[in-house]
Amino acid sequence: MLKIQNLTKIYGNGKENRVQALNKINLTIDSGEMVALVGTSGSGKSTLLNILGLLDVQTSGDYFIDNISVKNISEKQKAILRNKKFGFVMQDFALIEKYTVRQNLEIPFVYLKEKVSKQERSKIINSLLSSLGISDKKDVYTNKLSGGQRQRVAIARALVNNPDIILADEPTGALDSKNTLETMKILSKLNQTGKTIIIVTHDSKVAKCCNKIYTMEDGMLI
Amino acid sequence: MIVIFILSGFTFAQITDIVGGINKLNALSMSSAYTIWDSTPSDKVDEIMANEEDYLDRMKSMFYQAQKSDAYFVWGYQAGFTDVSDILVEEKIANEKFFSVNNFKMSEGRSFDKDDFKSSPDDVIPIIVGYNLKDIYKLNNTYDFEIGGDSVPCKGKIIGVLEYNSSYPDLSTLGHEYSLNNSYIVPLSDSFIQNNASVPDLDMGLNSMFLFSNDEAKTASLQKYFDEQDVFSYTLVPVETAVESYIDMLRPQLLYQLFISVIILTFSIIGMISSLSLIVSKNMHDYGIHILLGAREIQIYLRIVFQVFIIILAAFIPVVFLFGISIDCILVLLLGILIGAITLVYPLYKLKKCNIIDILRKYE
Repeated sequence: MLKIQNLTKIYGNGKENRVQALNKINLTIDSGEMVALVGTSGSGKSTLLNILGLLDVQTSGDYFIDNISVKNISEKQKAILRNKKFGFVMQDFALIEKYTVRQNLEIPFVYLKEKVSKQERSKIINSLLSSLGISDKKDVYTNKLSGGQRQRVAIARALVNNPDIILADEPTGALDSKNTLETMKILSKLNQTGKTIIIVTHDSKVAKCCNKIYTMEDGMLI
Repeated sequence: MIVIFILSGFTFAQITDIVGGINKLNALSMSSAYTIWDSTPSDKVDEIMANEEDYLDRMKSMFYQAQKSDAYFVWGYQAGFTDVSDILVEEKIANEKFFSVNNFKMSEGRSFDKDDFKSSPDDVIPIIVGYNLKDIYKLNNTYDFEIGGDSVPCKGKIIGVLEYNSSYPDLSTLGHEYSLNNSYIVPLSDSFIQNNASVPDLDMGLNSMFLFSNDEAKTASLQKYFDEQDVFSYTLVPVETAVESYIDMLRPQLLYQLFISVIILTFSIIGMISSLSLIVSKNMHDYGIHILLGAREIQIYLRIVFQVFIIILAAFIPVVFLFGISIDCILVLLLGILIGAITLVYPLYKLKKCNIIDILRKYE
């Protein structure tokens, strides 16, 4: 479960440079929910997602993961949580282009605390790629893939360490309608297996695929 | 970067050469050594060379007098290329004191002994060769040589091969270490001086002289003898004075060389920092992805450090081939490490300051 209390995020120093990205947000996301954060550009939805994913730090307020406050946890513990607890799916796919699909999927294993054997890694990677219909692309460089295929690779990579929570920032933003539909089907399927999915989107069709929709405007939930 | 490392290597080689030579000369000066300053006016030189026979005996007696005062001599000529290689061979003529002061080590055979310095060009004279000539002039074999300024033909038997990089300091080039790798050495004997040496030979010999003496009276006596012969105007000066004088004379040139070297190194360093910084910048997006997937900052720092130093090590390999494992090579490696460290400051600072979101967005 993720819980936010009075979360505020302010960027910049001094009166003129300050931008209040989030303003006293209160939000609870239970395990197994599929949640959409919608809003116009600049509403703070990506900022909120980044804080949820421990990629950014709130200015004030509290954030609990499974009832444990992350306010004072170390960078090391945050890194462990990013590796094990969360899976990230980004709009620009966030893949390393000079790596193959397999090599991209190997990366989360590198930072996993518990070492996984080469055979086990291979088994997991093959299984994920197969379930996403791209097992034939395993040794292809990601810069040779289509947008839809890259997003599937990104989703596969997000699932490598079997995280509880998938954070997707505009996962369909760079895709056509067909691939958007495919991607949302995959995320919905994952949600049905018990994974918590949090999607930031400005696309109402994408938001409608989710159990809950939270709308943001000017850094606040409305 | 390879070119920069090689240029740096040559610069360091120049500096260590000069420093090494000065140290060796200063070591000599600590044991009260004297060298010759030749201030003979050019018209006198012309007169002597035009009337060699008239001056030859006086030159010989000056030489004997200097030998008696325990001086060392070494001078040389270019002997030309051999038939079997492209090595430009040098002939060196040296006396016993030269060998005892420099304490050369042999890789094969033996050094000269006292009897070798009594040989005559009419006999088979013992010869020591430098390391690079060991396959051309093989140990214990006899070859034809032409020795001295007048190319006196003689037979020489190879009795020893010097260790690789044997050398001696030459004051006339500010302590530049004269390598003996491509030289063969003929022992200076009384017979050669008496029967075969010419005025130019003896002049070169006396100009190459180092006199080791704590006895000021003895030195003054030799000086007086030189003056009385009225040949070349030789002055015995302490090596210390000579070194200082040469340093003063060459200081502008040395400073200019150092200045140029520093300029080259500065631009080299800036160039290397730019190219390494560019490499790090190009990979920033990838570093952001690694952090996204669970890497800690320290792990990324180590990754960057590793990448930078791999590049530096790869560029360093040709330097090892060029300079061998030497002090210059080590200095280039230290320079590379220093440059690597300086290069890393900005990217690591940037990484520290950047939010991971900024890294992922900015470097898409």
